[in-house]
Amino acid sequence: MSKKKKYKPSTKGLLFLLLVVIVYFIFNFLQQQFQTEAVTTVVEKGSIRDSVSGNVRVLAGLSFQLRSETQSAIIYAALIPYGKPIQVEQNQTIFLMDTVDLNRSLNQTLLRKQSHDKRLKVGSSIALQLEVEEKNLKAYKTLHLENGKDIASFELEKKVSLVERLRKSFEIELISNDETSASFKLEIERLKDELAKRMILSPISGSMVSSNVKKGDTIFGGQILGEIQSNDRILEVTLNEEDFAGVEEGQNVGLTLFSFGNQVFEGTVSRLSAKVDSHTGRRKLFVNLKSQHDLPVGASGRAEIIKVEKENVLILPTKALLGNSVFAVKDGEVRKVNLQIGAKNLEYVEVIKGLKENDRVVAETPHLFYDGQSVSATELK
Amino acid sequence: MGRRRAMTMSLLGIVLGIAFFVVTQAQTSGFEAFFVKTILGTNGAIKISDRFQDMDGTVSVSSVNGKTRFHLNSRENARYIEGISNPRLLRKALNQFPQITGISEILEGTGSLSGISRSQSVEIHGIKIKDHIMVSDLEDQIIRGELNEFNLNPMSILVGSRIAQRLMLKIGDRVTLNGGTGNLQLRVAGLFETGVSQIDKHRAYLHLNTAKAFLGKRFSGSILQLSIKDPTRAPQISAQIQETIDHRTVSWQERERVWLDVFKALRISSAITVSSILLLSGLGIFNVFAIMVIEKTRDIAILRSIGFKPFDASTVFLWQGAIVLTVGITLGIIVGLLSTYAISQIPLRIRGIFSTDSFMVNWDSSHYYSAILIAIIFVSIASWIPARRAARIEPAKIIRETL
Repeated sequence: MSKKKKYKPSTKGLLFLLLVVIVYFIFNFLQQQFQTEAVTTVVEKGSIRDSVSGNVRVLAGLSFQLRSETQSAIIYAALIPYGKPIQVEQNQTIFLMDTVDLNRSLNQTLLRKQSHDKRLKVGSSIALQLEVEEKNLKAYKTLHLENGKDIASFELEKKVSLVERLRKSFEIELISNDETSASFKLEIERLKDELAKRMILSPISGSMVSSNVKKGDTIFGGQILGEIQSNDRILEVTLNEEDFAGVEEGQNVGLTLFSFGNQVFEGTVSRLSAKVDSHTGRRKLFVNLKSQHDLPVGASGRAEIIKVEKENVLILPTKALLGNSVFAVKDGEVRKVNLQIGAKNLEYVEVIKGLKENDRVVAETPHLFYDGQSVSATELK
Repeated sequence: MGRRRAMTMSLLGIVLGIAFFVVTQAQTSGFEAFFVKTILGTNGAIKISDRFQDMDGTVSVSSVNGKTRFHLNSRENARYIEGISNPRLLRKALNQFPQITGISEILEGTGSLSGISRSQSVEIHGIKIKDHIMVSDLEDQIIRGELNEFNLNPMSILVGSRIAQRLMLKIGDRVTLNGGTGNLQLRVAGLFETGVSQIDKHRAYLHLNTAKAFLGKRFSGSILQLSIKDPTRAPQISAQIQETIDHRTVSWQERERVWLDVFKALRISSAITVSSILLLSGLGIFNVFAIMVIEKTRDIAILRSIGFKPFDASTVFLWQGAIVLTVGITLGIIVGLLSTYAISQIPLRIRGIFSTDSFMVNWDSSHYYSAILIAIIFVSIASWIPARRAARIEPAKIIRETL
């Protein structure tokens, strides 16, 4: 007959167990208290834009500064200073100057030319005398040959000399007449040119945007009278040299101009400048707007050139990156993960390889952690 | 009687030691805290300035004991483009940092400000006032005029108190700003005083757009000033911002390193000096207890012979030390508190690196904990050595020597 042994838990054993449990909980509590907190974010799907930004300036397609070439007084101005810009056609008179003095000179010159022409028409007295003397000389010569005694050699030589002198005088008179005629022609041309200079015409069809003079003002040679711009616009974007990588013609551009508030203008890259400014390290490109806008010349703003735009790709905040790595958080530990990254901007980076959706990475000051560190993760708000 | 006097003097030493420690720490850290507050209130916690041109990364990796760490290296020698390149995009990027509480775009330049009788060169800061008050104490620094006036009138100016003094400017006066792209007629909307003489002597605030037009800098040249929730974390956060946005980013600790080192040196120096008072008090206690042990040798021997253990003999002296320490700490803290308060009421006009009209004190419990810890260490050692000697007294030997 065996006596059944009854199991009785000892008090010491229970106390020991209780102590072990308490120590375990205290250890865990302290570990949590002293564990570094890691602010994390999750890798998610979204869209990302790889873009660069630059400064925009609005330029006119063509721009002309109208200058005077002569000194005179203005008798007509299409636009007064600070006046509202006007549309002008090509060769339209913009400024007209006083021409009274020039007209007077021209009339006077024309009159003199007319008189000169009449004088030429009347003919030359020297030519007549020459004709008579040549006939005489011919008669003298005939007589001298027939009977040398009738006309002395001396008389003949004298006649020859006279004819020769008259011939030369006639030639000189012809030269003088030609010179006078040419001189009149040149003077008339000069005066007509001067008159033309006193009428400033628009070189293009466009907008007269400014005028510096008004009717009654006296202007001088070389003075700027006003400005005419064509109605088409060129949008010039300046980028830093290092941002140019990947920029191509045809890429989409978003433009904002300071004078248009938050309005965004859409356009495309039309051409890239061939040279880089070595002093500033800047390079230019030009943009065509997708729709027509009346933009003021000289307006400035910002442009964002979109190199790549991707939808539904894995993205994470750029600030989580350490070179090409991140610290992923798994099971309370941070682990270094090397990434293959794609598109990148200041906010987000595309993850091609290394992480999957909903993976958690350290987002705040990741450089303060080390591989394998125990952390308590909290979500970035 | 003599022992009691000596003990009282030692107690007094502890009281004064603790009080002086607390007061000196409160003062030096008070001035330091005020300096930091002034700096944060004028130039912000973090400044973002030039854009780096170098394409090389700044991240390096090291592995010590199998722990891989990343380091964000300084970029002092990097090539850069002056000013931030696109404030709007940078703002969007900075919105990813939840610690940032305010962002203000500032355009800096110079000009000559002419008043009625004379002119002076000034440092122009173009700001958007609503953004700027989020990153500075400009609202509190206005001593005359109204920020609202400045906000409503784009052709107004805020000038430093010393500039106003020199040019004899009043609120509403017209001033001419020369330089840049031409001259500007501006109206004085307010006078500010930061306490930093370099700022008060030279700085003037304009509207950002007015400054851009005046300086002819439509696109570039601006900087960003940031405020953050916890300014002590500025170096770590600024390093991350620099790496993320590729712009030179400087924390206030880096910017003001020289002054912070000076304050640190002063704080340590005063702590060492005042700790010597506690050390001397400890020596006094040690002396009194040592004499007491010699004088009470026979009494201790009798107590030991009737059954008292060595531990009991030493406990007597340790308890005495503890009583002195407790009383000293209690009185020391009370005297320290009162003295700190009294000192904070002493008028003292300081202008230069900050502006104050009284002593600055910092009410920080860590000063009290440090003082108590030092007092405990010194008094414990001073009590423990005589107590140990008392415990070692052999009763038989003493009685034999007495007989």
